[in-house]
Amino acid sequence: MSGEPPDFDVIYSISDLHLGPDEGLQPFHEGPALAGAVQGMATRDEAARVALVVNGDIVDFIARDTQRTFDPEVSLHDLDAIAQRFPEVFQAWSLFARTPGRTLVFNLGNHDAELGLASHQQWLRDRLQPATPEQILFTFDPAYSSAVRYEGFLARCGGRTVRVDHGNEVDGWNVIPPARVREAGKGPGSTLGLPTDPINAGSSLVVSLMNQAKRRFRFVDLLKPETSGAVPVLLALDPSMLGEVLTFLRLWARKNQDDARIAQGLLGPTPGATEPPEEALLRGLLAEASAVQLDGDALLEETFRERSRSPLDLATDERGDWAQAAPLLGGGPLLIPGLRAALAALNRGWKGFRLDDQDDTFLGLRDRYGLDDGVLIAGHTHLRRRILQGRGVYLNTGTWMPLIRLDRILQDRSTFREFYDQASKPGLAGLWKFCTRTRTVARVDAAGATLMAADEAGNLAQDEGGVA
Amino acid sequence: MTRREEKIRSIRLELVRSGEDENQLLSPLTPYLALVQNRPAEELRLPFQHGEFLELHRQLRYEEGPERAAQAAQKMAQLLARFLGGLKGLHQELASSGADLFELQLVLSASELALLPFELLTGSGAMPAGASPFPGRTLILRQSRRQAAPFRSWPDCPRILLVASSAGGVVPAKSHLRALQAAAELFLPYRTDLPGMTARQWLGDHVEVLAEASLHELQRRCREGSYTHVHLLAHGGEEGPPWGRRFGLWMASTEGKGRQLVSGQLLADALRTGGGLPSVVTLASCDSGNQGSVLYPGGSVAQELHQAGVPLVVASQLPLTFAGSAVFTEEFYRKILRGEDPREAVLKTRSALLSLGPTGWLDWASLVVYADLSASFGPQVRRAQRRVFQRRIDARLAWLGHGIAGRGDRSSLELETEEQARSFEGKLRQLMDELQEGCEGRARVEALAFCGSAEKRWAEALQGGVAGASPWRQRLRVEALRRSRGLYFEAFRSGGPEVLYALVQALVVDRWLREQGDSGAEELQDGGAHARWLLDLTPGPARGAEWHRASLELELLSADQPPRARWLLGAPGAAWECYSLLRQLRQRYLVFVKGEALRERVETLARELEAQGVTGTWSSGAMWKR
Repeated sequence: MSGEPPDFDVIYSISDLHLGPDEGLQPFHEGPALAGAVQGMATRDEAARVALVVNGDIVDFIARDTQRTFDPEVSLHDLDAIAQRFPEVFQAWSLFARTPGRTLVFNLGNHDAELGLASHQQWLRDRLQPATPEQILFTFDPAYSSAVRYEGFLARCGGRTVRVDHGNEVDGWNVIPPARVREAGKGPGSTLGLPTDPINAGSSLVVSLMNQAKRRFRFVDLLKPETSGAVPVLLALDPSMLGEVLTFLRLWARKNQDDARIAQGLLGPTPGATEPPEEALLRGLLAEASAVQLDGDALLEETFRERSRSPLDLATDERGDWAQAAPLLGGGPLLIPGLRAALAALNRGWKGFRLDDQDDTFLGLRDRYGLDDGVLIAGHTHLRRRILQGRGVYLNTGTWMPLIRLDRILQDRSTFREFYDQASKPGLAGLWKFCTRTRTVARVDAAGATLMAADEAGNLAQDEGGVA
Repeated sequence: MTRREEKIRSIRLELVRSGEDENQLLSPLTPYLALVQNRPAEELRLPFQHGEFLELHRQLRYEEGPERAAQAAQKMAQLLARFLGGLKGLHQELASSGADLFELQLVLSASELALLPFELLTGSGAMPAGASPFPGRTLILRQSRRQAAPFRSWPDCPRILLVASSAGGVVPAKSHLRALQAAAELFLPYRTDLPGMTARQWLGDHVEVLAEASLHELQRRCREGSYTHVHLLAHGGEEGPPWGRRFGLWMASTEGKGRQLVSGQLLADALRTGGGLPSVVTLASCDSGNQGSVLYPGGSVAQELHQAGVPLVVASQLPLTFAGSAVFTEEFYRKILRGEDPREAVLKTRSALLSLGPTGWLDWASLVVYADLSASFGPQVRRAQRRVFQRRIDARLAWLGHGIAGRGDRSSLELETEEQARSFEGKLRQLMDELQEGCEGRARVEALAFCGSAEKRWAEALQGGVAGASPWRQRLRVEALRRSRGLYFEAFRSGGPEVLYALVQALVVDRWLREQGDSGAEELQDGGAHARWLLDLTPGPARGAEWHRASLELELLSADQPPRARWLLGAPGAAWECYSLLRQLRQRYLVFVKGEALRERVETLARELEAQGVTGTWSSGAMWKR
């Protein structure tokens, strides 16, 4: 491969499908729509050079009962199971890869890092049977990534540079060590061996804690991406998980210390290192989750209206639905927030559904790669974005999973009560009314870069930015 | 010496050792010297090791739950009782006085001793009565050997800032604001049920809120206005390595994102931005009185604030419960804003926390007070007490009609029946009795004159409203004016020529009574001539606005021609006297006087004042004087 990025007339990108092997643990139900959309991409613009980038978290290897965050062996079997569960999707990809002028590109996410392994790449090639080997491109293939000197997908389209990156590399909790996956992808004889387990905090959180909670509260699966914000939610759902949460945080803190120590070439403890501050870390997470934004004027008026009530009475109210009988102003046992408070904190972190909101992933990627007059496409956050800066365009393709509308759930107490009742039941059917679906596709061509939305049959239309 | 002064006995207990303040552990091997008042120094040693203390302290901080904390409190109290119980000098000092409140000034310079929760020995929460070396009503005031900040003036008119931060987690902000509002209600001139009344109007500048503040925002607020009391509600937290941890308060980060742990020194710097520091800072926050590490110099948030110049700091040396923090705020502020001595207030707050039972866990023992009260503190408190009572009376009277405070339309309190009026009058007179209680000398004269004024205003209020002409109102009005006259005259008799205005007011009220058909007071028969004689004795340069006002009113009562106001208008400090006189003319003379000649003179004088720009509105918030 030459060092120049490949040139295309049209580039499509989709992400965060989360096709999982376990019927009970994954919520993707858009097989026909996805297949229809991919078939359309294969057949439309017949003479054009078209790339479809499947941009990370395509499959979800940690959405199953496992204690491992990176499992080469089991994940290969999982691919079989996933292909059986979603044959129409694989058939559509296969059609695309066998259509002349089409290139199917796979990029890594944080839930499908095993796809970087040579065995898994081969499995995909065998399954999809491209017309020519070049019609399937793995961005993590060292031949490609070293040629273009980029970890994601880099191409030219309509005279512009197009970068497609999953986005987890700028999320401290979900970074995948790419060099290790790439090295592992070389197969037997690789010098570095397989990535260590746990591969990152986010994946570790999923397998050690979230998968447990999902069995009882299915909606946990809809809380993505997995970052610190999910910890208070898990504890709010089941305070008895406190010990496991602390163990998780301790292991994770130690691993970070170990990594730092190894990086410094030290064999003993890092000089000056203290015990992993997992409890302090957890206190911080819980405090953040339980915090409410106080408004001085509102407080004055509310208290004025409630002046017949005693301070003690109000304090009892304000302590909320804590796990403890007597919450403390710091210190003492950990203060676990109620589910409503924890979800509210998570919602704050998501910053809503505004298409032009400059979230942390956008800022991280922009700062890392710049935007100039190019196009930058990401996923990972599950939130669609379309941000124009100068002549540059940033797109985030969100997810094809149902997306839980925390803002809707939290709008009033009765809605939250209804949500909680539904969330306590088995299955996800009762939760759809609290979710939104956005089958989002990014399209770049000579005319520009935009977001498209697929209908249930997979027909693409301009995405107007509305949220169902 | 008044009865209130006799109640509190101060005893200074200083514990010292050789060496630097920091970097020593608690150990039975370390000899300490105890200096009690001016008694001979005594040596004492701790009956426990540092490790034993740390374990108990961990339990006191509820790390093994509230039941273990209660057991640890008993054990700790026993150890501390053994430590201090053998001090003969302390025992003798405590036994030598019949005081019913002991203020133990505990001066600790050694960091490791500041760790110890001596407050467990006060009250009956951790040990049975009689087992503690201290009498039941003992308050520990922690001090350092370095001179901190004595009070210049104990505040009598609160301007409270509530700083509430949820940066460390949810806090019971509404509860604390409600507690502060409830305490300040005494001072508020507005009723809450007036149409369109908002919280800000109601509270005025007595209680303000700063929510989710960073230190920058706190600085800005303190630059804009000075506060008498600052109440901080925030989660406490700790930072630093295990061997050097320090406690602070979680506030919003000054960088606009996230949070930061704020030390006492940083807080003090922010509070000082306006030039001065508040007199009182209360910290509703876990571990705000926790010394933290003994290895390095520095102290708790409370200690640092005190050393930086805040005269009185009340904090929590252990974790503080939501419920306990609410009770702490409610009790402490209610007591001090009512004019109680803050030492009494802390004792009563501790009792209230103890009576919370299991809900309050060890909050009663957690309260820790840093204060350096000079010998003048008692008189300061009593002076403030009197002003507090005056403000409370002002506020009650202002409720009768906002016009009385010059703040808008009159909106009379329901005084439609004699029963309602008698009830209101009873409360008013109770406050007046409390104001006069224990007052001597100049303070008594001022209190009598103030009450004379209050009765006058009460009579004025009884004149208004639809039932203004009813017989019971007439009866109550005459009774109020008689009391007013008696109080003014008593003030003059006690204070002499210096309070000549009181004699003049007694004469004025006497005239009003006679106009109402009441008989005049015998002792005032020659009062007019006497007052004139006294006025004439005052040398010209000493004739200020007060003198001219008195002179004008005397002339008004006696001369055939209306007096001229020009001397009063040109006198220094005339603004208040002009306003007050105009109100008196329009709302009292013209209401109580029936005689045409006098009414005409009053009208002429009032018009002259108005022509010179005097209005019946007083906006500076100055207190009623007479």
